[in-house]
Amino acid sequence: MPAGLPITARSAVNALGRTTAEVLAALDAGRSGLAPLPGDLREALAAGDAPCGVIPGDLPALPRGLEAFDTRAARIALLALDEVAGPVARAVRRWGAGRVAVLVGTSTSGIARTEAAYLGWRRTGALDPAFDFDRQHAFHALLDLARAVTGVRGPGWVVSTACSSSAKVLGSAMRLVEQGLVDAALVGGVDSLCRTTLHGFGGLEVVSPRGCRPFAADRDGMSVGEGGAFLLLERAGDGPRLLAVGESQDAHHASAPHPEGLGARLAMTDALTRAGLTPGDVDHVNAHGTGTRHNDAAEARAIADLLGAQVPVASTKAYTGHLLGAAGATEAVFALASLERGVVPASLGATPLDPAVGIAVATTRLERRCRVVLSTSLGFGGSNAAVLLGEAA
Amino acid sequence: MTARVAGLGLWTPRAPSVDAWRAGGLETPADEPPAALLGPRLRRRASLLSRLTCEALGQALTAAGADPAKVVMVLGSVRGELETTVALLDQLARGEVLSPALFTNSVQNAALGLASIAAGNRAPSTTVAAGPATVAMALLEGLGLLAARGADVAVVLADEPLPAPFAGEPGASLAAALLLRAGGPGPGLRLVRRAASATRAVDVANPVAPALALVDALLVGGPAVVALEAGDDDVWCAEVSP
Repeated sequence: MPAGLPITARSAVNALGRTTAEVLAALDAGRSGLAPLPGDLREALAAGDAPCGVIPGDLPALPRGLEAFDTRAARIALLALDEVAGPVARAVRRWGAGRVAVLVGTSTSGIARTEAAYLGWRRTGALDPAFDFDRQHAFHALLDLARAVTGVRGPGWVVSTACSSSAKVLGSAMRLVEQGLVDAALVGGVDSLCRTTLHGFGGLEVVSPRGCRPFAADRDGMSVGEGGAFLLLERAGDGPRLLAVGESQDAHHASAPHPEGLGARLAMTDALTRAGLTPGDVDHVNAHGTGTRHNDAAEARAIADLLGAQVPVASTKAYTGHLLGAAGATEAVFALASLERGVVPASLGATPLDPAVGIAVATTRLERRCRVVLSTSLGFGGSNAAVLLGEAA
Repeated sequence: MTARVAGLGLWTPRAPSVDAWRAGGLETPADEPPAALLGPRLRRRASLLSRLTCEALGQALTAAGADPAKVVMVLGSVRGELETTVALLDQLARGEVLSPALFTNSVQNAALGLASIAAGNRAPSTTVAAGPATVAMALLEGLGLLAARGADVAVVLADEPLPAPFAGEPGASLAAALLLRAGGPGPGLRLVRRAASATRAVDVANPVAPALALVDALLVGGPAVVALEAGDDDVWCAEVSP
């Protein structure tokens, strides 16, 4: 097994819970976090009654001095960063603040706040004076916020490649460490519910009216969710390891996947090649599995062609909804849980299974040692990433 | 990692090519980035940022004789697909159903998705947004990809002006592209942390304007150290060597 980079801390917050422990407990219990939006949020987002993945409870307020960064995405980031604050502080002391990178994946950053400001401007002709483009709308707002609350000072950027964003930041982190530019990296993904994505996917007519059911015979679309996840990678340390990140482009269509999953297969192959592993080494796949008819069919084809019909596959989208830019980091956290606990989660909502998918979708929770787990993230623009994780050395 | 810069691309209304920039710019501004790389069908649906990106990218690929189907692409952009985002906000304000084409192309990687389709390019591509450090960080990611993969890497820096109601002051569209290669002819480029010395001010109001000072240094061929961000202490600089 290749050395890889130890992952010494991680967090995930989403519809399943406000802490990683809550999230994993719900995953173990096979409990979906999808539900119709609560009244206030439904009104704020002018949403319908399709189930979504909303973080339960109130989100934390911005600390004193950082109020200008206040967006729903920023609050989610704070919640997810809080859980890794101790290990990140230790990494800053160990390596030096300038030797810790910060890399964040997001598709929409603080756009929920921009939507409100824009709608207000259209109504009144005046832009809300509290609206701050650079600290709320802009991608780098999340970067500046993460630096301000953690003290991390190393190089960093935001990757926004739609639904592969926070899988690809893991690849960026590996490159920075491999080049000797940093010794550790705080890497994550954040996206909040907003009108743009809810209504955007609505306009594409891909939202399931009853909650997504990836790989099911009667699947009828995806569900939008929100969440945040962070991972701390260090040059040396204890923990499961990031082995490689494979990346590719479909070069096919702006929003539809290559029908045979060619780009997804290239990304998975790239990850295995970079890690020096073979398809037979993969013990479990956390699939992108959004629940739309075409995406699941194309991805299943890619998995079947490369990894065969035996490796257990699960999509966790029916638990959390599709976390878009936060999906890659969140599902890396799920994959780490599989490595550490020897469990493949049940692919919720997958029964009755679509006989056409031709892969071993885990319709029930499986106890099984996982040495290597592959997690795929496939996005608009034909952007594909495959994250390969291995058990602790 | 030291890369060779094997080709450059540039588009801004006053200098829609590297040659025009070298010659001091045009009297009459150009109105549209042609983005021939996309072909007419993809170009029709492409946003301003996507056309800017693909125009500079195409120029750099041609200058370097690089294979459009194989190059690894990085887009550094502070604001991303803002024109498309505002068009969607407008549809939301009117209570309209959001246009699937606009929504699909509102992602920051839309330009790279279009370029990959046009060229049949299945190599990795990625985006970088880092506020005032965007030019430096996009180059850092480009150099990292070159070190990790060996294939040619095109780094494009592009932003469009802020539209209403967010605009404070007028700005200009700008895209610059560098084709990074592991060896061969062309000036050398690596990134270093240095105290910023004065860099020639560039009068193009755009968040990726530091790319223009770098283009200048690359056209001379070095040696030079170009600050890629402002700051009093050590900042990311490009070290250009002959």
